[in-house]
Amino acid sequence: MKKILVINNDIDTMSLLKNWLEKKSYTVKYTGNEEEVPAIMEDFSPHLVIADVMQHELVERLKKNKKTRSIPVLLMTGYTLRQTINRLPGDDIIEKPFNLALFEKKIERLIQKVVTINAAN
Amino acid sequence: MEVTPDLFSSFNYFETLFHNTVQNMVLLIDKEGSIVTVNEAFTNYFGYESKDIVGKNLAVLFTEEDQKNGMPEKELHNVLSKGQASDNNYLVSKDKSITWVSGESVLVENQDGKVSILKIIQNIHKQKLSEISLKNLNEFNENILSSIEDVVIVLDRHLNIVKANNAFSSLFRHTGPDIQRLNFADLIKPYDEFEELQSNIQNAITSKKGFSNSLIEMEIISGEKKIFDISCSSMPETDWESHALLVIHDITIHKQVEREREDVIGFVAHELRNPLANLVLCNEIMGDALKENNAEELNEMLQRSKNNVSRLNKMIAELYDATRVNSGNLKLDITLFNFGDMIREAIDTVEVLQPSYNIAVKGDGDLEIAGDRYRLIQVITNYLGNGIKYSNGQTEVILTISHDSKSVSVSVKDEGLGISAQQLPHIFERFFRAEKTKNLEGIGLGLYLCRQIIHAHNGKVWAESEEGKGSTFYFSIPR
Repeated sequence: MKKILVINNDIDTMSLLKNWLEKKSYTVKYTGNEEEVPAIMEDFSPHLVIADVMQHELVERLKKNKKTRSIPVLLMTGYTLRQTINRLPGDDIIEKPFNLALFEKKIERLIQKVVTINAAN
Repeated sequence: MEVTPDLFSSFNYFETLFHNTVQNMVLLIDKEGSIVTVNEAFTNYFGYESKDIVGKNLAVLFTEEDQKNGMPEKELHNVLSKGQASDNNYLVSKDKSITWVSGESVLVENQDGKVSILKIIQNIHKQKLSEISLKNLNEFNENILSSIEDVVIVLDRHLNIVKANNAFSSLFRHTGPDIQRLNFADLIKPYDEFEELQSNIQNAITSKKGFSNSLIEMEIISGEKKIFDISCSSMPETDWESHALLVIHDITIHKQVEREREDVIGFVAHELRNPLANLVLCNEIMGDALKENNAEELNEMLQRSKNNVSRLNKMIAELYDATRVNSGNLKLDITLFNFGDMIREAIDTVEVLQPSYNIAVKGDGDLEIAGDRYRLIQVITNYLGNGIKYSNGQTEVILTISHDSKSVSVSVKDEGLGISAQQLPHIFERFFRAEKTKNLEGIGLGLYLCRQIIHAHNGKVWAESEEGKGSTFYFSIPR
């Protein structure tokens, strides 16, 4: 089973995402506490991180860290301005409110990609 | 001295000149400066009769100021020592009006060897006046130009700078006569990436059609980056040369306001989309639950959906309120009421929404207060809501009322997360939310709104907090 870590500051969003993703047969953990993230990354070792654009600084740190940089990050955003999106550190982006079919496709594609990369290693 | 026959025979000619000229006024003055004789042109113009003036010192013709400065003596000395003198100055008529004249004095000697001074004067008053008004006009134009804050530049058809005002030197590193050798295209080259501005100006000069609202970002002397609006108009041709007039206007501040507004709108949109995203998820899960006949989940999702709708609603209300407060439209509806009753009503409102929390009230609120009751309830519910939000599992929030003869204060104390020392000074600012508590609800305008309401009551707001131990929010308003 593929594992997904959701990082957000909205508890409602996190628990709803967990509910929805578990129905798609993913194992989901979530946290609103950025300080917990490194430990969870270590223990849980997710195949994908879903984070809000508000946590872009945390995502940047994940992308700079040797241990975590190969893990794909899908950013959620409520902003629609393209110029803010260009500078963001994630691997892909999904706009709020979600188009769930697109959201699901993006999750699948990112997890697929990392599996291929890992297999090649 | 022997007088040549030629000069002798021309005496009549000089005499005619002396008596009959209209333009040239002639005076004969002795070595001491006394006027010996004047011609008709002189008496006609200055209004003196011959007898008024003959025998008087030439000083009477000078203005008081010139007399004080010793002008008549200087003129006399000059002509006596050098044989000739010319000068421009004012002369005073009999009616005290003054006329600007150009005078030339020469030393003459008669057959008896008597030395006199022949002074020929011309009225150049009109020329002088037009010269002065031209000078004033020029000064006036220069003053206009230099008091314009915008940079104003005149360019020739090769884009060389012909003229620039003072503001130019605040923008570019050139001053004084230096600037006349500069080429504008060279100056803006680093900022005019595709030479668009340059070719636009060139076109404006050739086609004689100006342009406006051309934006360019430039680094000014201070190193700051500023945004300018450039407009260009073609000037009427002078000396067969075509010129362009450029006005460079700093619009940085307007652009900043615009960007800030975009940021705020972006932020608000982002915040509003959170509960909307939750609703999308709720609906999806409800659809699944319906298919699975899972009434329990359906019920739960329905509840959460309701919560998110009310959250959205609250955000929009907060936003609307803050917009009104921010634009200075907060009008208080002042009535006289019992302070304690008002506090009780605020607590009731909060307890309906958060039944699991215990709000303890300390102090005596039994006093009459003039204020906006509805707005003050808003502040107290906000403070209590915050206390609960930050409570971190603790269920008690303490509200204390205190008053003296001048003011009444309320504090709301929780034993929750607390706020860091760096964040504490900013908590009453617009869109501020302590990082850890970003979850839950609101858009970061609640405390800002409280501050504005209390300020409108001529009161003040403040907070104390210790991270991990809790916070206390205060306000006080005059009685």
